[in-house]
Amino acid sequence: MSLENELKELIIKDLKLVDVTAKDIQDDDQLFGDGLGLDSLDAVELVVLLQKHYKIETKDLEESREVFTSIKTLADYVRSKRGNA
Amino acid sequence: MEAVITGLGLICAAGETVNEAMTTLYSGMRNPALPLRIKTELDKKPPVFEVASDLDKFNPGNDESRTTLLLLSALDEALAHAGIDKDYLDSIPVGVAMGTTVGCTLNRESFYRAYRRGENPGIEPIGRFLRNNPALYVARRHNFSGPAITIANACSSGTDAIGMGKSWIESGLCHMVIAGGSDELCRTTYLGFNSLLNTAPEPCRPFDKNRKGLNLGEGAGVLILESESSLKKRGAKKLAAVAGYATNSDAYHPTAPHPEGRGLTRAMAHALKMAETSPARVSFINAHGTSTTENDKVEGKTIGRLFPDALPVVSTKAFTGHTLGAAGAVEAIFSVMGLIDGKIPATIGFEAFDEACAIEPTSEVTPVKGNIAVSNSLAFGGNNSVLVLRGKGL
Amino acid sequence: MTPSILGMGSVSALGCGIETLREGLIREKQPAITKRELMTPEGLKSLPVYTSRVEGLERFIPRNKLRRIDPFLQMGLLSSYLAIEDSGIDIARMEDKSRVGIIFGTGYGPLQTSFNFFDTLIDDGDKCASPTMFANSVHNALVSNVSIALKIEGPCQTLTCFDMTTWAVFSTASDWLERGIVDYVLAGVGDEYCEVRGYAVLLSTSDRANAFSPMDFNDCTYLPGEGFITFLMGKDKSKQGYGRIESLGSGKISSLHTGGCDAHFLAANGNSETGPYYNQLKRETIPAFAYSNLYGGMPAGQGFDIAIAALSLKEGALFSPHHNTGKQSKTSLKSIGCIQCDNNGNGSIIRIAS
Repeated sequence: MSLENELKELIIKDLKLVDVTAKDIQDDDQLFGDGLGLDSLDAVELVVLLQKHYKIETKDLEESREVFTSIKTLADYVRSKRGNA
Repeated sequence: MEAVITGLGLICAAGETVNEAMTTLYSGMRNPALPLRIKTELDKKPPVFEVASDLDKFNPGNDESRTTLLLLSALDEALAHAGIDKDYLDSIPVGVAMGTTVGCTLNRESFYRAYRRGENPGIEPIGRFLRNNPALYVARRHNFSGPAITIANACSSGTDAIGMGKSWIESGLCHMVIAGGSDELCRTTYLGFNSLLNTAPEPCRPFDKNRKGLNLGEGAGVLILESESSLKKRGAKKLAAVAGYATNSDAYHPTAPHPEGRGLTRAMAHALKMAETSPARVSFINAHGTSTTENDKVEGKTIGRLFPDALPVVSTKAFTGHTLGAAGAVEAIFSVMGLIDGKIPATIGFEAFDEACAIEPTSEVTPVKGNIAVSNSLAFGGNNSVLVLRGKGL
Repeated sequence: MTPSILGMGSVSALGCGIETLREGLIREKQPAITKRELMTPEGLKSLPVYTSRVEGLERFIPRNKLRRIDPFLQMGLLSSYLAIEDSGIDIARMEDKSRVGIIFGTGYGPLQTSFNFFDTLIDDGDKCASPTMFANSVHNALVSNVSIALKIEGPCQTLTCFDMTTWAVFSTASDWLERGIVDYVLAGVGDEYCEVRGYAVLLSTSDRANAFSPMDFNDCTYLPGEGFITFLMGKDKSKQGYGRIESLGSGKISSLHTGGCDAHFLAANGNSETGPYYNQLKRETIPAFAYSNLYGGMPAGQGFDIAIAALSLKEGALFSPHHNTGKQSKTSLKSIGCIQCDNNGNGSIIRIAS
């Protein structure tokens, strides 16, 4: 499974999204606001998700805002932390 | 029949009595540190404002929770300060209104861990939880026959308890109310607020442009409220009056305040109207001022919009941390003392003005004129509660 | 003009909706009692639990907005919506919703969520504490969610004082209405069951008798229940005929004034710590009923009794809860006193009158 798809499945599961499957989420869709519709409480849950599943610590949400823009930016971030290109 | 304040007692990291705390506040010194009593696996542990004492002298039966011990410390001081003797207390219905967050939650983690491990632990921790509901505990300890209610409104609980006590006295339900709040530091709130990314990795900086979040604290504040007739009967001294109280909900988000301060605007207007006063006549505001990005922005903008530019604003959470259910009571006490002393402390930690907050809190000990103080509490969950306190005269 | 009960919403072992409470009263419906198997120091034991099941919340809140709403929140939210629906008052269309308040009470709060939060620490470590579960574990999370869902901007408070909780909620609600702080109040009480609570019940009630028998005050027959009961209250006359809160009283049981009622509804629930205090009440010759066999044991019991009192006044009849004798018409049924005692010699009475 690609990292992008893995992230989609984890987001759906950990954020308990209803009536959404991985196929419904495009890699470039906005996660917050009008796209997937996540809010500030979901943002901090995403921080926990990264810690729980990838051992990545997010120090500052404001500084990491761009990381949480889309599945693609999130996947790129995880890869960069893992050291994978 | 107005509710007047005749006694004050508090305990927090700034001091274990009112006088100790005020000395600390006016000195501008503070010492947030890593928690000693709670252990976590966090790599970067946010500093807290912990009370140093174990408070063992209040725990002869070893049954009291730390939240109760903090409360007993503040309660003893308040009763002594008000000069009330036991005979008088026994002769009238006395009400108890107490705010808390930790004190009403069954958060006995070590018990639950043992339960999860299948060790079938004894249920003494649950019995202890049942015996330590703050208002019921105080009423039982002193055999009070008036109403006893614990308010669980998160960060506005202490303020709401004072508001409830005020309404009991005004309605004639009782002539004396022990009102306040208490909360201990614990892993649940420490890890919970940390998970929300609300806690700062450094000492908090209320309203500062570079603020990074709140520091948790622990403590208790108790105010003795009385009717004027009880005051006269006892020949007691009035410290201040609870002139106004209002509470309104943002109805916006479980953890974030309304961006335009909708509920706070309404609560401030109602409280001032009840106190028959206006923004122009307010001497100072004790802000909720947690140092989170959102709270200080919303609260600052709202204060800036409603009140004159030069009005002194202080956040005393810079000295106590956020004591959750106790905060409203602790800050009401600081506000009464501000009216009595004619000055308020510097908002330690504030250095750089943030345009988004619109206001600049005190940067040194500031003289205040007049006899009206406003104290704000903005709760987790969207509650906004405001007290208006009236001192003894110009 | 004392506050009226304009609408009621019930979530309990009898089901969802005030009609289910009525069906339980006239014995057309039995409460859902499920046997829970729990490991104790003495081995596996069985505990019957009055179990609620939330159904129909999607009528009011879309499924995709329920993802953060745990079972305790679901009970409270559904009972709130049902109370408003029952009243026929369109709160949603009110121009100034700061004239509507919410006052809820709970004995134990969102218990299961508190333990779920601990689970995240135990299973995944301190760094993986769930912010959503923490936010939902505070007692006032329910009021906050109801306020957001219904856009209610008036005073919103949560009270918690075990057996005195219902009295605290109603006395505050009445105070707000009488002082004109609000025009309507959603007043509700409730508690949830969870495994740890069941474990505590089993360990603390080892000398229990077999059948649930709340009027045998000295016997331990307690069975835990869960549910949430919400009332929409206001100063208008109750179109539903549910009556009004005539008066409230609290204090030491030995001096609690209980007269002036055609019947007493006692929130006795088989708890042998509170049971004996019901014997100490000075009740004159007023007939007494206990209905906790319909909803189970919980601090919010008096709240359910108030709803049953309101239904009884509407019917003009008292329902016999234990024997299959049906209802007893009382042409002079005008006032019912709902009484709850705690385990410390204190109690409260809430009088409902037509």
